[in-house]
This record gives sequence, C-alpha cells and structure tokens, in this order.
Amino acid sequence: MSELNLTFFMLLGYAQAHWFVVLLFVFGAAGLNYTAWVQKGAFFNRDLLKQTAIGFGGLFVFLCLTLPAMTGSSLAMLGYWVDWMLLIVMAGGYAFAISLWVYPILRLRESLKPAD
Amino acid sequence: MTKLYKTSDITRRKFLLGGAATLAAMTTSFNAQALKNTPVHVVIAGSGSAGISIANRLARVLKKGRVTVIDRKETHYYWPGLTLVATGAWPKSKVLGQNADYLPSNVDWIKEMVAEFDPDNKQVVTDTGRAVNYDYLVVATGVEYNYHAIEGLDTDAIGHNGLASVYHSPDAAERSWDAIKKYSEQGGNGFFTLPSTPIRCAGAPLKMTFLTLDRLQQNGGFAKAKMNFYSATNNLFGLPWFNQFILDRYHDAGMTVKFRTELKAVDTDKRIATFVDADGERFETDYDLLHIVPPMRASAPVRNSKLAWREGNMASGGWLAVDKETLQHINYPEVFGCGDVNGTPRGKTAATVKMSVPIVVANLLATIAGQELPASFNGYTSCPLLTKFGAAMLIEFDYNGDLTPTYPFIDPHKESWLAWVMKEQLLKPTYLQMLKGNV
Repeated sequence: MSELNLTFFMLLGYAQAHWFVVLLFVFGAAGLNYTAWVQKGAFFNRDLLKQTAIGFGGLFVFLCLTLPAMTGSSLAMLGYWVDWMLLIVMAGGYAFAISLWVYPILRLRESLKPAD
Repeated sequence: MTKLYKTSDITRRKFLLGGAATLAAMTTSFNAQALKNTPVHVVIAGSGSAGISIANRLARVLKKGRVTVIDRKETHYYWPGLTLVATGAWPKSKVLGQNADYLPSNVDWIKEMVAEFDPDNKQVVTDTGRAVNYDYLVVATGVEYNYHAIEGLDTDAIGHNGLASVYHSPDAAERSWDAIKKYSEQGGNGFFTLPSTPIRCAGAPLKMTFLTLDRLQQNGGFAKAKMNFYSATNNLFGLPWFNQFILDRYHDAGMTVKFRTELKAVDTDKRIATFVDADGERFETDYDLLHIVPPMRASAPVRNSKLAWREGNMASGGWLAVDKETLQHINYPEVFGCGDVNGTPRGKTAATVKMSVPIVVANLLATIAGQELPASFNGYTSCPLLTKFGAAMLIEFDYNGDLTPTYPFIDPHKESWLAWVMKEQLLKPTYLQMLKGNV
C-alpha cells in the first residue's frame, strides 16, 4: 500500500515537473485521433495497424538500447532483474505513447491520398 | 468522546503508509469540524522541508487556527541534490526554489530568524526582538554547520585550491565541482573526511567519494590519484553489511581508510590538512583535494534553550530533546520537533522528514484535541547510495537498523539502475509533493 502511494505521488510529481510536454502530448494525441476518426472510412485499418506495430517494435528496441545512456547510465550497468523490468516498461510505455501519434498520422495521410 | 476522537483506527502501520492515505486517516479519525473551529496558534520555527510540509498539512486542517512560519530564508534548497551538483551531474539551478511557491497562502510568514526559545512562557523571540506567543510550537530549524570547529578553515575558500565541501550551500557545491573536476583530471592526494558528530545525510560523503572515483576514471586522473577516507567514527556506515560493502569498494579502488581520525585544522593556501588519530596524535598531510564534512549541531537558539537535551549523547550538540517515537518534546508537551534538529538516533535525511511529518502532525492535532498521541515513528530513513554514475543502492532502515524497503521486491543489497533513475529523476518531484503535504 505504501509503495503504491509513493509510486502514485512520484509519477504525479514527475508529470507535474514536465507538465508542458505531458499536455502537449495529450492534446496532440487527442486532436490527431479525433481528426483521423472523423475522416471518411473506418478508423482502424489492418495495414496501418501493421505499419504502426512495426514502428512500435523498432522504437521499442531503439529505446531499450538508448534509455540507460539517456539517463546518465549505460546498458552495462543493468545487472539486476528489476532494471530490465524498468527498461521494458519505460521503453514500451514511451513507444506506445508515440504510437498514439503515429497511427492517426498514418490514417490521415491515407485519407488525404487521392482516390484511384 | 468517541465522536471527537477514535484511537483504534489509527495504528502505527497506518502512519507509516505516508501520503494521502495517512492524511485521510488522520483527518477522518479526528473530528475534523472540531479541529477546524479550534482557534489555536501554531508557530513553526524553520522553513526547510519539514517546516513547509507541516505548514501545508496544518493549514488544511486548522481553518480557524493560525499557523505562523518564522524563517528569513526565501530561497529553498533541495539539499538531496547537492551531491549531484558537486560532482557535475546537475546544474546549481536544479536545487533552487522559492519558499513562497511552497508555503500555503493562509499562513503568516515572519521573515525573521528565531533568536530565542522561551518554552516556559510559550514564546519565541526573533532576531529583531519581536516576541511571538504560541499555543503549540514545531521546531524545524535544521542543523548548524560548525565549519569554525576546523581551525584555519574559511568557507569562502571552498572550490579553490583543492578544497571542496558538498554541505555548505548550492554555491559551495557548485564551486566544489570545480575543485573535484580539476582533481579528476590531474590526480594527486585526495582526502575525504567524516566528523564525529551526527550529520545530515550520512550517505553524502560516501556518495561524494564514489562519484569522485568515477570522475577520476572518466577524466583520466585515476592512475595518478591516491584517495583516502578519514572517518572520526568507528565506521563508514551504520549498517554492518553496507559498511563492509563500502570498505571493500574503497579498498578495491586502492583507497586508504582510517577510523577515529578527525580533521582538526587546514591551511588552505599551503594545502596542508591536520588530523588527530585514534591515539590522540596530530599529524599533517599535503592534499590536492580535501573534501570536508563539517561537524554539525543544533542551531544556537535551540542549543542554548531549555528545549535541548541536557544529558545523554545528544546533549553536546544541543539537539532538540524529543521522544524518538512521538517526536513530542520530553518536557513541554505543546512542543514538537521535526527534521534534522531532532535529537533522535539515526536519520537526518529528507526521507526521515517525509515519514515523520505525518506523525508530528497527527500527534500535534491529538494534543490540540486533548487526546493521547496516536502515532509512533520507527526512525525510518533512506539513503540512495550512489556507487557510480548510473547505479545506486536503495537503502531504507529504521532506528534498530532493520531494513524497511518501501518496495519489497527491490533488494537493498544490489546496485541498480532503477535506484539511480529514482534518485536522479523521481525523488525531486516526490520531494516537492512532500512539501505540499501530499506524500
């Protein structure tokens, strides 16, 4: 219970410290997804989802390789299983968040293509 | 009676949970309306992390009461970040804030310093001669760095000619990095000291040593360096396993470690440090880097008042005489202590403040309500021990030296990137939440 409490306020504090980036992301993702949603045709498209998933995978690997260095550490220092869990959660989280922008952008690009 | 106050719901465990859960438990267990309408005057001496956090919590509850904070300082220092400033990882700006941004708007802030405590008359006198009466008093005046105890030391010299000290201030921490950076490139004789008094954040000197070793490796000075750690105590760290771990690491790095060896004097121009060893013998040594941890004690107004310990091992530093579990003064029940000023075993850290603030507030409110004290402090303290840039150990323990990890799945004995990320990225936002009275 105490760990959940601490984790919540830790993450809340971190979000508050980076409020501008968080707001930019949230409003950007909401706006892009809404704009993509109101376009003609189905919002979900198998090919676009596949492209987004490939992008997610590439980004996930890239972040796994670079996040430790970006935080002033290095991959070589990850010797404990909780480090690997943290790395997977962080890389997965950031990659997923970026996907929330990427998919609607792909969808919008698709919808703006001239019909054959 | 049962309406006013319900002790059975407030257990020791609950108060160790911290944060909103604690505040919720506290405010629902007391009759919130009764406390809101109680016209008490609480004076908080000090606007460090403990003072501000308590002010925020009390201001929410004592709507008809008056909360007065007495402290001239307008700039708030994030002390836990100074080790990162002094080792070049953070800019100084990252540890500076404004107390006005953290204090609640409905408290009175007297921008003067407490010069005298008069607990018999429930009064404090400020350095301008203003007398402030109180119904309840929280002493949160922190520590006093006694650099003057080291003969020949001028704190203006910190950062110059190989002299460093992380403790003095953010300015001195920044200047210390100049000295450490130069040393990490050129090598030479490096000395890290530890005094015999209780000190704030006992892990800081150890982190400074570890990070300087890392900088030596990074900047090419390691092969030309001879590092030494001279402790005036019998060990480096209060917990045996970690003490041995640190000793082994220092020895692996070729360091010399001496115990019961205290810095007594320094000639900053000639770079000569004078120590007294375990046999009482004085000896001098040249240095290229000298990192000083000053002896520490309670501030003079506390030390010279009836609030200080008069006997026992806390008396010489004039530390505040509080019960180590309730944090209430042993002679004056309307007085509580929080933070570094407390004459309690172990724990002069921000983590101790984080855990003890809800306990002080709960016990203070119970005292106001005329009830028995519901909350008990187990002495929790924490040290994210940075062993190198990018890795740390998250060591949490209590008065008894028992490990009390917040996250049971994280082994405190293991170095981890996670602990580094917590220290470098997450603890300051958490600290700011603590100031607001949330954590």
